[in-house]
Amino acid sequence: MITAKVAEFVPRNAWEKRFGWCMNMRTERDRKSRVLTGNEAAAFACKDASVQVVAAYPITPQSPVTERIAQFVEEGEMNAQYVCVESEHSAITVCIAASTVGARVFTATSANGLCLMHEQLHWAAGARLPLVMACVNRGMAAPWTIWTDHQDSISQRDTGWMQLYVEDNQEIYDTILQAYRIAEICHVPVMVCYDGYILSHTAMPVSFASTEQIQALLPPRTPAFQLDPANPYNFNLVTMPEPRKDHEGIFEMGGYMDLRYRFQVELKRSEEVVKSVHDAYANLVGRKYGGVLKTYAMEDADVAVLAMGTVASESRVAVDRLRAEGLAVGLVSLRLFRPFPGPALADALNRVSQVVVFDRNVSYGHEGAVASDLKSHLFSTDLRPRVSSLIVGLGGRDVTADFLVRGVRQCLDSKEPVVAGWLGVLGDSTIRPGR
Amino acid sequence: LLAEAAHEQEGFPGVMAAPSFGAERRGAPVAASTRISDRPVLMRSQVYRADLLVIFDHTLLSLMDVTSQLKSDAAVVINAPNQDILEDMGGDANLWIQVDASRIAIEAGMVSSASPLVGAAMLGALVHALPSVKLSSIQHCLKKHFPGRRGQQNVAMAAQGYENVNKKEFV
Repeated sequence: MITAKVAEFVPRNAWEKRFGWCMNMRTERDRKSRVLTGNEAAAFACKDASVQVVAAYPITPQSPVTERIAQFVEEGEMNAQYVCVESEHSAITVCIAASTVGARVFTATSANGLCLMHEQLHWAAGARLPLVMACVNRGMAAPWTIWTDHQDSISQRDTGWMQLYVEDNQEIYDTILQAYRIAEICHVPVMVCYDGYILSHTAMPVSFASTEQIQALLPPRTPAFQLDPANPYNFNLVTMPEPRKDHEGIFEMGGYMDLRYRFQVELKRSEEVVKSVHDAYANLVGRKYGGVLKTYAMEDADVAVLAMGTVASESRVAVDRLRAEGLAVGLVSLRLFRPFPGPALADALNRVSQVVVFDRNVSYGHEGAVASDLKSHLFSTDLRPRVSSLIVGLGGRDVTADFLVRGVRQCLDSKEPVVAGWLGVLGDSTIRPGR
Repeated sequence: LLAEAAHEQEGFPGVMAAPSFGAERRGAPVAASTRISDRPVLMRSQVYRADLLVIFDHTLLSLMDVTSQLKSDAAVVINAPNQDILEDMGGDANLWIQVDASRIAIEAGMVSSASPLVGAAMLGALVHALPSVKLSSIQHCLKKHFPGRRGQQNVAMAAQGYENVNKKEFV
């Protein structure tokens, strides 16, 4: 628990002396939009956030992010320490250590690399460290795949990391910058998830924020607590089940459950910070992503499509086509998956009679994670739209607007709600029962 | 480069350039697609019905059905040694454009690992099929990506690609 006593000692720490606080100056020319891959957009965001320590281990399709950052550091464009490591487990551990002494840190990974970090992801969240990670979404082996789905990040959903999913390369850049502010206000690590290849290796126009805008939005990190040899502290010791008195006889440490309760409450509350940081960014830079979720054509919609990432982007085209066929369909693109913005989602869906959820992941033996969480939340409200759920695009299976249109149509025509139907198996648009 | 050239001109805020998503190595058949639009591009799926097909190696014609994913009024630009290849081309595209990009590259000394680097010449040739993207925009991007002498060579190759085409039209 952060006590006033701990907050007092914040030293002008060694990091600041060693690396300085250097905003990376850029020229007027660079402010125009440039055609960049998603991985390049992530690397530029990392540079513009004046990240001080980067540790990452290469994995397809994430590798170009770290290659580009290594190049920035090598060429002196970025004033950071790039730590070479021998695995993803070491990468996240270096990030945890650097963050604990007060640095702003970054890592990026995909799939099996992310899962190798798993136990330290729990640690980073429990230690309340404001790490930011780019998760370049890729399916999980076996069988071996390098192509995209959300199985890797969804498998980390219970670690306490915030998870944001994005639709295009511009949103990658903007969201990583926002993620640092959110993380440092809430003391929660943030994962910015974007689809492998479909964004990571695809070039699109990206505009940067100006140095002045970034300075206004993202002040230097001021850690509430940090490891400092001049003022030694222990963090995250064995914590007893019950609260106990400290050496002065004061009950100020909670037991494990009390600290975890506090984390849960603050993580839920961080949803508001996601919105306020997004709004501040939108006001200054002029690009908006709806805060925790984006809506499209929802004003008069009777049917809502719910999706994340590039499936949501493709769904915009599908919604236009379904509207052209006379169906009142809209889209809710879920940006924040953890903490789950249940009330905001219920609010966005409060006038529809049906929801069709596209999940690019599956909790094997059950259904897609977004569908599960949506239904679970709606059951604690008075809303009872018919919820159909479809699994799409696993391991890079192409998700076209045409398939999404046919998926929605089949859900609407079905007598019973479709539960975890698989769309696109064997390349056709028949919905196969998933359970 | 094509997406970037279009984007840097007026009128194309939406562009998207995607490689074929998989292992890529020199010598193996590979594919890439580009979308160019006067609005932001929202589609993230692969291209299945193309307006323009650029074939970098004419020997692919005998290996696979490269024209099966074209719109009926599409154009095709093909790198082939001479215009005889156009005689065999049918009506699956409205416009066929042949350019000997390999020769242009070899004469310019743009060869790597015994393979001619035909990209710049192909970009020059495809302007005939896509006149809304200007040759000068493409040359500007080539100079930006390849500074110095290599940039000048690429600019010259693009001009040669533009000037040395043979066309066959079905109207």
